[in-house]
Amino acid sequence: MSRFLTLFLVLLLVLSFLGNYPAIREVLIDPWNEWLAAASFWLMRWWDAGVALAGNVIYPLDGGRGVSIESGCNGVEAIIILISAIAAFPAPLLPKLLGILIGAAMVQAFNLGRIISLFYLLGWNETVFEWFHHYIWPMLIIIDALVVFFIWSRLMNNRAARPAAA
Amino acid sequence: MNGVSYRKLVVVALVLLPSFLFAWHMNAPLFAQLTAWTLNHILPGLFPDYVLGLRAADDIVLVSCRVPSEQALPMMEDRSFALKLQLYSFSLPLFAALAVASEASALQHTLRLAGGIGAILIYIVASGAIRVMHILYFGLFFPRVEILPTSEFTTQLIHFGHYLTYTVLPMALPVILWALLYQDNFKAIIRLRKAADERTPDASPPAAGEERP
Repeated sequence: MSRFLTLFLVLLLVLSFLGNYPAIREVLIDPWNEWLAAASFWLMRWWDAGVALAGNVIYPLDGGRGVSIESGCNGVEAIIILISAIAAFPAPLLPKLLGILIGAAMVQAFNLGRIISLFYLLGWNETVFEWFHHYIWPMLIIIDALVVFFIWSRLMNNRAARPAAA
Repeated sequence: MNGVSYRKLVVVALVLLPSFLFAWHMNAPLFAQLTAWTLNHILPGLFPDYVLGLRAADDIVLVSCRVPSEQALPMMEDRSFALKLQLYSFSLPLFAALAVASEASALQHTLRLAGGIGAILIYIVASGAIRVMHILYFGLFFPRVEILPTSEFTTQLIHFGHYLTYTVLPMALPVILWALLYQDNFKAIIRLRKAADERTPDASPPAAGEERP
């Protein structure tokens, strides 16, 4: 347990540092923010023709305020936490990679819902938007990452127990 | 502890979360008082030329500082800015919800909750201090102040410290503290084996009494 937690904390620090390093931000994180905005915009266009996209900003065409996808809104931190947990867990490399890929996709799917909901909440009530933006959605996203990790770790244990049970 | 279910943990935590959010929001002025009082004993001592004092005003912390004047640059002027510590402290309701949703005796809950809340309060004070340094060093609201010698290292260090305490730790800390303080629940959920088995997970038989999936 102490090995797992130590490894998790070290990886969390290293990945957080890398995620915040200017060169990596420029090459990976900023384009990722724009991609997320584009993906959210593409989804919203299915039911709402009154939205527009400019870089990492989604805004309403009626002149209201838009949302900008920045650090902390892009799900990268939850993915960093998930990668650290999966990488620290004692399991073979391939299932770890699969867990990270599928888990990151699940976190980002959740995050798309977050961005879209925040866009509409901003147009409706700024106080409610602030609450969801700063407190409720970050909590839900970390719970999402935690559940993904729990499910993955159980799958790993089922896999490890199979030869012994045969 | 083998019967600990992650579904039950998550569902109970989600059900409890609104109540803890409400309690946390109602107590925000108290946390602001506590943080302002603590930081007021640290920051003016660390940066006596620039930080004059800190005080709470409702749920925010007001920082009074002496910075270069925007009108007449060699001159200094007194300015203040606000810290909204709730942005850092939402770890508290999430940790409390995870803790109360876990299985432990009343005494264990009390001790572990006290330990977790204490650790989060220390983190809030540390993140408040880093935020003040970040604002002064990068001159976010007024001309920058050389609180530390300017170099690529200090720039990256303060930038990283702020990113870690503002973006990563508010999300990670409740889970880390819960996993540390409720190790029995955490281990039962993820069924982590002993260190000796960790090296060869594929070949390890289930521990005695371990619940077979």
